[in-house]
Amino acid sequence: MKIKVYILFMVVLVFLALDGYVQGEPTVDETHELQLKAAFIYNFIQFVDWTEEKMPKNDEPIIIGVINAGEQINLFDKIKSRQAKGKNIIIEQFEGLEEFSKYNKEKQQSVIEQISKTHILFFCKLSQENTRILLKQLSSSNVLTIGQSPDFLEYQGNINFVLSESKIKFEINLVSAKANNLKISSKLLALAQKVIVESEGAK
Amino acid sequence: MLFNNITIRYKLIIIIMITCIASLLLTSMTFVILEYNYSRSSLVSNLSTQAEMMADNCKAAVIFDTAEDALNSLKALSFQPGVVHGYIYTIDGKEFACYNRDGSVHKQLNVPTLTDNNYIFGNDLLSVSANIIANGSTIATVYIQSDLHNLKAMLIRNIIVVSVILAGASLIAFLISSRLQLVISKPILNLSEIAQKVTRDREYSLEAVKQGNDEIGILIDSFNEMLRQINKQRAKMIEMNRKLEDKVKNRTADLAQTIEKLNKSNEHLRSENIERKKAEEELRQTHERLIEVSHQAGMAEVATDVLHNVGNVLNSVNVSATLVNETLSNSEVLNLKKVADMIEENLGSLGSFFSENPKGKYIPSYIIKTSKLLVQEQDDVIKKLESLTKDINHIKDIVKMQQTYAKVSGVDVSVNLDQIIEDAIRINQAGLDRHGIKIVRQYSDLGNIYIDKQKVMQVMVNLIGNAKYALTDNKTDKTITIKYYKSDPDHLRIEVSDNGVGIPEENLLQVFRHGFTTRMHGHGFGLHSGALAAREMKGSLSVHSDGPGHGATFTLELPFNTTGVTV
Repeated sequence: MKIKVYILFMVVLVFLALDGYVQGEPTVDETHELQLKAAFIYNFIQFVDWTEEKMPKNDEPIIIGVINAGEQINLFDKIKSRQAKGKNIIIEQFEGLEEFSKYNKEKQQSVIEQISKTHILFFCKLSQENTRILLKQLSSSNVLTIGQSPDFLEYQGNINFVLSESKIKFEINLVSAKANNLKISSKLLALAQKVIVESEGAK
Repeated sequence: MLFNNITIRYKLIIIIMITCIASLLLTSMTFVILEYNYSRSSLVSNLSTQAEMMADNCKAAVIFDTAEDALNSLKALSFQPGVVHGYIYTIDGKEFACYNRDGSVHKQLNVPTLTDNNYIFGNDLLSVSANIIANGSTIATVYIQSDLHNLKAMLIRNIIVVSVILAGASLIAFLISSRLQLVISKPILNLSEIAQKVTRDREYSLEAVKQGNDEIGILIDSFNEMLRQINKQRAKMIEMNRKLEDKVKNRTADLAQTIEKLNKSNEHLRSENIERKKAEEELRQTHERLIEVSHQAGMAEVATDVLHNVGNVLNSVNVSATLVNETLSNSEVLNLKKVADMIEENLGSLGSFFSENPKGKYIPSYIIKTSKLLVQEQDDVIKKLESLTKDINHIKDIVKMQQTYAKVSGVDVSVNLDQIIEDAIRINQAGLDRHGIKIVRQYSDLGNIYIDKQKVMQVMVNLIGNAKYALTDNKTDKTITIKYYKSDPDHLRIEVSDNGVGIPEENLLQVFRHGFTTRMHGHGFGLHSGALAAREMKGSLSVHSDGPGHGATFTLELPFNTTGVTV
């Protein structure tokens, strides 16, 4: 089993080194899993369209925000040097949001404003409560929210990673994405394990 | 040419048919080829579009490594007729997803041959490719393969359709051309038929029927006119022929007569000819005789000269003999006889006789005196006898010389030319001396040479004799110059020149002619026989004179050799 994992890990590394698209099976190892998810997040950029206002102008980069990644933020280093949609990519780390619910409104507002500047926000580690509050506040921020918790889509997150047969898959809440003025390519939808297209329905 | 021997009717049909079929064939072929090319291009274009769409559709699946999704997308190819395979290969050449139509055999692609949206025909398949590009880089390639069954089927269908159309069109063209060719062929065939009749039956009164004023109409007019002309000419010819036959008959009769005459003349001529041949034969014999006579005459002349010389010497002999006779007749020997008789009578008394007898006293002195006289007489007689012996020897020499020359005629012998010339001079010597003629000799040293001694001698005797006569009337300075020299390595020339009467120009050509002479008693054989002798020796005898009073030079030119081989 370990050999298999090691091989898969090497394959992933090779493909990331080539051009950043994902090849090979995801790993259950958290670090490696996170590394694969970083690659997924990078690739999502190609299949998502933001509003014209939201799209970075001229030399501005596409900002990927990562909540509470801690030390693991370095797993995103590989995609920092890349480009997507002709733009550079930068990673912005948001730490200490476990206490978000406890912030007063101004501070929350301030944090939300800060977060709203990103184009993608990945909820690496955050409590359900904080996730729900944060997502609610970001529901029309035109920020693609990506999480990895079972309730993420229910909280109106846009894309959620799941593990299926040891492979990383993803689900899409098209309703929240539309509400968030995001256009998700049908190709991506086709690959999603589940797509929520109605307020209460599910694929 | 293939068409040469078929009728114009079939020629026209064949030409029209070939033209129609060729144009139809060209058109149809062009249509089929264009259609085929267009279908191919369409197929490539459709399949390329399909591949592009498939690349776009499968992009996400490739990116997110969901091969099942990619395969699902590829399965959409089942709706595309003809497509048998669909593949997605990653950039490193690994097969990511593969679709095969049911029942079709999977054929491994040669991946590097198909990149950059290329296409290729091969293995009865059309393969097209489209790249899957993410963030500006190719991450995989979609390959779609379609069999060419439909394309081939379409090609065959088109060929069949075109063939059917071609056959139908050819049939229609045949039917139409069979009718339309009559417009051209009918009048020509009609004309041809008339021409054949004219040729076969010699019926020049026929006429071809004209049907229009086109080129064929003009041809028929010309043909009819030609027939009329021929007919007219023919009538004239028959008439002329008849006249000619009459003329020929008359001329034949005339000719028969003429031939008759000619035959007679011919017979006459033949007999004349025989006579002429006889005459010629006689003439030839006469000529031979003449040559013989000339030879004999030449010899006779030499003999005459020899005898003349002998005669002269005999005169001398006669004189010498007479003188001896006279001397002996008047000799003191007779008186001595009387003295001897007296002595005999007085043998007994010789002493007294000598001392006392008056006659006896004178006897001793007489004997002394007489003995002296007798010695003198003896000397005289001996001298005369010596002269006589000399003359007789001279005659002997002449006769011997003559015999020498008479013996060797016709054979080249080794001789010294000086000797022959000197002998010739000697034969003429008497005459030369009588006329006081001086001989000047200008000889070359040729050594011994091979020539016909007798003939040269004969010629030389003649030439010297001739020169001698030419000098007869000269008052003073009578000279004959005899000269010989080598004119070239194997010819010699003997020139006999005199400063005598000379020869008029008109006689120069005649001197060698038989019977020509200027002398009162000449017989005209000498120079003629000389010329003949020269010719027999393969040489020549010629004469040169500057005219009367300027002398003449006769030149005998002869071949010679020093080896004894006859030239």
